[in-house]
Order: sequence, then C-alpha cells, then structure tokens
Amino acid sequence: MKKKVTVYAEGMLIINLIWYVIHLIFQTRIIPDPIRVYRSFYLFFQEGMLWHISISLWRIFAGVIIALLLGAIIGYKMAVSEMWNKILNPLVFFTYPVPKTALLPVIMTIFGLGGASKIILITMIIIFQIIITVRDSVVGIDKECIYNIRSMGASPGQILYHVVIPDIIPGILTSLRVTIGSALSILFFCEAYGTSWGMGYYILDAWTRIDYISMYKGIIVLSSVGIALFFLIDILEQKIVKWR
Amino acid sequence: MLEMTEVSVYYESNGEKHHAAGPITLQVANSETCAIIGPSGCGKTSLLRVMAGVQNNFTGRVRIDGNDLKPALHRIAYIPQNSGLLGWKTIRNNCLLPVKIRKLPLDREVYLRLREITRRMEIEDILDRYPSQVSGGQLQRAAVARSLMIKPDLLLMDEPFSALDTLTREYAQNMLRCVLRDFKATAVLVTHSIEEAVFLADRVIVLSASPGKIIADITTLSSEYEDRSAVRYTKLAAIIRQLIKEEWEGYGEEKSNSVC
Repeated sequence: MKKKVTVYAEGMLIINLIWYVIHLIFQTRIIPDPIRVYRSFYLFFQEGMLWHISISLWRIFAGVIIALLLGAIIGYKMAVSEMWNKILNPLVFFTYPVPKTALLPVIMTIFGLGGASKIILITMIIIFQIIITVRDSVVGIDKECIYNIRSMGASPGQILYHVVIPDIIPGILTSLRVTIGSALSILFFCEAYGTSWGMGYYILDAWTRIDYISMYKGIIVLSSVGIALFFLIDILEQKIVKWR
Repeated sequence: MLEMTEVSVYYESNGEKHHAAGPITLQVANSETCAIIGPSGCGKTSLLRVMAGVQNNFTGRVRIDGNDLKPALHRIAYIPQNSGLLGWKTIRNNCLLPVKIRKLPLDREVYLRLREITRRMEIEDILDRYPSQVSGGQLQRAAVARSLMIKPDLLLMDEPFSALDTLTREYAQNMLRCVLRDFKATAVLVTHSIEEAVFLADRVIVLSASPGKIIADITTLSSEYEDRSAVRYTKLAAIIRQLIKEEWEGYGEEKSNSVC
C-alpha cells in the first residue's frame, strides 16, 4: 500500500509540474497557475464542496451497490442454469458494447431529470462487467471443490457461502476497479443536466461562468475522489482477499 | 459397512448416455481399507463419486451400515485428486470446515481433535497458512487431516498422492497407513499405483477396461508387513501386475501402461 501511495504521489507531482510548465509557457487564463488553484481551496467549505462530493459519491455508491446485487444474481443464474444462460446470454452480449451514454436521453425521459436517472446510468455501465465476471467465475469453479463440500453434506446455501462467494469476490473487485473510472466519467456527464449538486455540476457551472480557478479545483477534487475510490478497492482487496 | 449393489455409473456426452462402470457389487467392512485400480477411463473416479453421494447418474443401491447413502446423514470424507482444500481458507479453517458444515459445536473437544490430528499429520506448524503457501505433500496431509475431523463413516481418496515426488509420496503413504489404522477408518482409495494399493489397502479391487467391472478382489494382508521391501509385498504387487497385463491385453499398450 505504501508503494502505491508513493506512486500516486509521484504521479500527482509530475502532473502538477507539467501543468505549471504549460501555464508558464502559454500564460493564459484557460491554464491558470496551479498554486493559485490550490490556494483557493480555503473556500472549500463555504462553497458547499463537501455537499457536492457527498451527492456524487452517493450516486456512485448507489449505482455500484445496485449493479453488484443485480449483476451477481444475473451472472450466477446464467452460470448455473442453462435455460437462463440461453435467454440472457444474447441479451447481455448484444447490449454490452452499446455506449450507455447514448441512452442518457431515453433514461432521463423515462426516469426524469433527478438522481434516479443518474444512478441508473451508472448501474448500467458497471452491471455488464459484473454479470460477465460472476458468470465466468462461477463456471470456472473447480468441480472437485463442489463435490468435496457436497460430500460433507453441505446445503446449497452453505456451498454459496463457503465456495461460490469467496471465489467470485476477487473478480468482482477487479471489475469494480476497471469500471469505477468509467462510472466517474459518466457521472460527470450526467451531472450536467437536471441538478445543481454534484461534482460534475460544480465543474460545468464554473466553466460556464468562466471561473477557471473553480473549474480546475473541481477537476482536482473529482480526480481525488476517483483515486480515493481506487484506494478503497485496494484496501477492501487487502482485507478480504487475504489468500492472494 | 459400505455396500454397493449392482451399481452402474453413466455419464452424458453430447446428449448421449455412456456406460462408465458397472454393474458392480462390493462390500467394504468397517475399518477396512480397500483400493481400486483400473485403466484410465474405466470409471474409478465416477464410482468413488457415487460412494461420496455426489454422482447422480447411476443405478443400483449404495448403503452404509444398512441405510441408503446420504451425505447429510452419513459422515463422508471425499478427498479429490487436487486435495479439495479451499484456497481462501487457512489450513485450520479448512480442517474445521466439515465441523461447520455439519453445524456441530466448535467446542474444546473439536480443537483437541484438531490438535491431535494435525500433530499426527505433521502439519501443526502450517495451520495459519493458506493452501497456496504450503507444499504439495503438506496439502495432501492437510486434506487427510480435514477428512478425519468428523470421524468419517467412509473416507474416500482419489489418487491422493499422484502429484507428489517419490520420497514425499512414500512419506505421506506411511503416515496415512498409520493414521488409517489408528483411527480405524473405513476407506476406499482409487489409485494408479499397484505398489500404493498393496501397501495401503487390506483389499485390492481390480477393474476391467471401460465400462469397469470387478475382475479381481485380492486380500493383501498388508497389516502383516511393515516394510515396503517385504517379499510378500513385492510378490503380491507382481502377481497383480501380471493379472492386469493378462486382463487388459488388447486394451491398448498406452492405456495398460497407465497403471504402473
């Protein structure tokens, strides 16, 4: 973990240096001095930044939880039931490559401009990865392990608890790591419409007001939220997946 | 006592039903160790799974002590080729798993038994490690330790030491032989090794090529000799090898060589 923190810190330092150099070269308002941007953080609480972050995080967590629950159930069903697999497999593979952002107008029309449509879109981005990961993990479980625990007299619930769930957790965490970046990008896009809260709104609002300092501040905060989520997944992996 | 009556095992492939083994009628007395040897594909593992209560495609009857076999009712310990230990549980938690599955209390008696068995199997130092952190020999010994935790009515082993090198295998075999004797376990062992069968088992059942049927049922009297180089032991292994050669003649050189 220490090594990862060092890598992130180094990356952040390099990016800021590049940013500063570009600022020095071009001397334009569009690329402000990073030091000025960081100094403006003293307004962090007055601007309601915490509330913006909380709203964005709530939308991401809600989307992730729904995607995890639904995705795990659908993926598991597809793995254990040939009938369910036959029904759902074409549907999943047809809809998986469709860019979900293209569905934003449809989702907003059906579910309104509020938080629900944003959560649904995030769910749709993450769920396919979860379905495929869970299905493949369950199909790949060593049959001998299942025979072994069944011979002990294990019930289906005990097989799920002792074998299936621990087996699929590493795959789910990897999927989350892959999809969380996409979810953040989509969140930024979604929060441009029908809301006055959230990091996406904050950045786009500052942009329309030509307040580049706030805009960059919003970008830094949103990036930090993304990095924090990555760290959270790493910590979860270290705490849960101890056997690797 | 394990009783198998007219058991035939089937498997499905490309929608067709194939006869894997049987009909087989076999009895294994309490505290007896029985080894099954046969050519590849003769249905040894399928037969073992029938005894474990996890194979559905079979006809005939399997009973333990007069009752129809049910994993929830009988204490069955099945050790597959890959040990069957769960990679996400420590060796300790793997050993305690059968106790948890049967919802037995994790009391002092259980922990004393765990200590005794793991000491006997010489794995008491690796209890807090994960299966990926121990050697192949330790893994198989841990699998045996786990199987003994619930005082099994029937211990089933599918080529438990096939992946080990010669020295480790002999060490593990010696240990298993002592443990089986001391714990008075009723055991069925599937193996490709005639020497292993003769050394570990009281009886050796020889199966024909697929579909596997019993062609010989040989009493080894293995308890009468301790040394692997005992004349009777090597003679018996040679007799079984000759019997197998004669029986499987024409089955294919490649396949008959699979028993060595």
